[in-house]
Amino acid sequence: MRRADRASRVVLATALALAPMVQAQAQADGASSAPSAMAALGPEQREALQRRHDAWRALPEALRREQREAWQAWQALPEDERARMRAAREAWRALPVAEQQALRARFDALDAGLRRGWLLGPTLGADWPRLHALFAQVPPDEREVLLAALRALPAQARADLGVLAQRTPPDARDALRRELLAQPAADRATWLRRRVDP
Amino acid sequence: MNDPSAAQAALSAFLRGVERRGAVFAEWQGGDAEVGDVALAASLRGFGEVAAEVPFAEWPRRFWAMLLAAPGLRGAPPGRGAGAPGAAPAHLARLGSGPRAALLLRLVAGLAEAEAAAVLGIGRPSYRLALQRALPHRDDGQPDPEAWRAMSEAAQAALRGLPGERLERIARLRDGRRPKPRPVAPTSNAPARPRWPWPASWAVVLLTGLALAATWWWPWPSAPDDASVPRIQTQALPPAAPPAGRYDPALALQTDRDLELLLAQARGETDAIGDPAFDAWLVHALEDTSDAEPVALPPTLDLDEAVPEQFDAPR
Repeated sequence: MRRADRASRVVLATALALAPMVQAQAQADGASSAPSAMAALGPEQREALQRRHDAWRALPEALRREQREAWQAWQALPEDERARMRAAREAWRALPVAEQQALRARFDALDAGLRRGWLLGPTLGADWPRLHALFAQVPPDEREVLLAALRALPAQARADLGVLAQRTPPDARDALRRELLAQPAADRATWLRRRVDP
Repeated sequence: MNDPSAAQAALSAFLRGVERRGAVFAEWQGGDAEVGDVALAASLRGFGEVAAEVPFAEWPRRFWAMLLAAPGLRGAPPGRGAGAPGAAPAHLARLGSGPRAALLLRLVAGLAEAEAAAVLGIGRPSYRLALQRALPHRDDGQPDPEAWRAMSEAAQAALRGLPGERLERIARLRDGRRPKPRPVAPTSNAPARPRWPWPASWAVVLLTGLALAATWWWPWPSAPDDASVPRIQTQALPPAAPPAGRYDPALALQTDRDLELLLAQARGETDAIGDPAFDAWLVHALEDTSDAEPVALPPTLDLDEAVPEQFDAPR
């Protein structure tokens, strides 16, 4: 329990780092599509969109932010992770109501920062408490590449990287990240294993 | 002079000898008898304190220099009370402070030329020149012996005619006692204090009181008794002109940061999203319902080291 508390603290501290990362990726995906989508709308659809916009603006800012983050996080996830999440949700829906509520209560009891860490998806969400140190100073244009590389790593390699991230002083983390990305994708797990346990 | 009582007696004798001359000198040099007396008393007291350290031969020079240095004797022109018995001759009023001192050191203090020059701190030739300039002259530039004699006689008369009570007053001033107030001279030209401020003040107080009372009892125009007439008159404003421009809702939509999300909602793409954080957590929670912690942390990891990372978070 104590360890979980510490992990919560770490994740809470890095929640700020997480949001712009997810957001930047989502914006990169769809930045150019909005004007063309607007132009393709007919007058009635445009009117409906206008009404939807008015209703959206009427929502409280906290609610809007929640929906925005959920959508941006979803946009950033690869399809296989989306599929795992959809399957988990279906399984959860199939459970008895009491068990559904128990699971929901366990999630809601997590620290807010820890909950936000799960926005990175099932793969990186679990590793986020240990990997956040590598993300803290990543330039925006490198984040997408790094997220993709991290998702592609096997679980043991992510655990190794988490250990390395904690061992490496802050001023050397840039170099570690660049070295990792410089490795061929297939060799990264081995390279990490060697770095952790020479 | 080693005997203290003898020294004290010599000092008293010296001071008695110079006090009359000092009184006339200070009055004529400073132009005011009262100021002169105060300056003389201070000099007498000050000289008494330093006399023991000064050789006897130096006493006159030291005393007159001390008196001349008194603040009250600097620069004020003589002439107040001119014409009265014992008053300064009118000629002195035309002289500057320095030449007047040169003249008075000779005429009233009765010092020799060398001592007078030493009192002024100048050489004898300079003193002689100053004295020559200070002496009365006739219109053709020649010295006027008669005027000089008249001044000399006036000085002698002033020295002789100095009233005894004035010397007592100087003695009291010297000893630090409060002097008796001098009788107000009928010829005093001090401006009489105006008598009108007090009655005027009382008149203002009275008028203010009356004005205050009038605010209660003055017959103000009473409000209309008719209750149907509102006390506050109102008038409707003219209808507002149409604004020059409005914020275009279409523009607001196009520039909204959530336009992408709204378009996705309109296309129904957001229905499947649900709660991504919960769903991602569910993946792990359902795989291992006994432990919500997805991966056991390696034992070498000290998470406390990572806490400062919050300060590295990008903005």
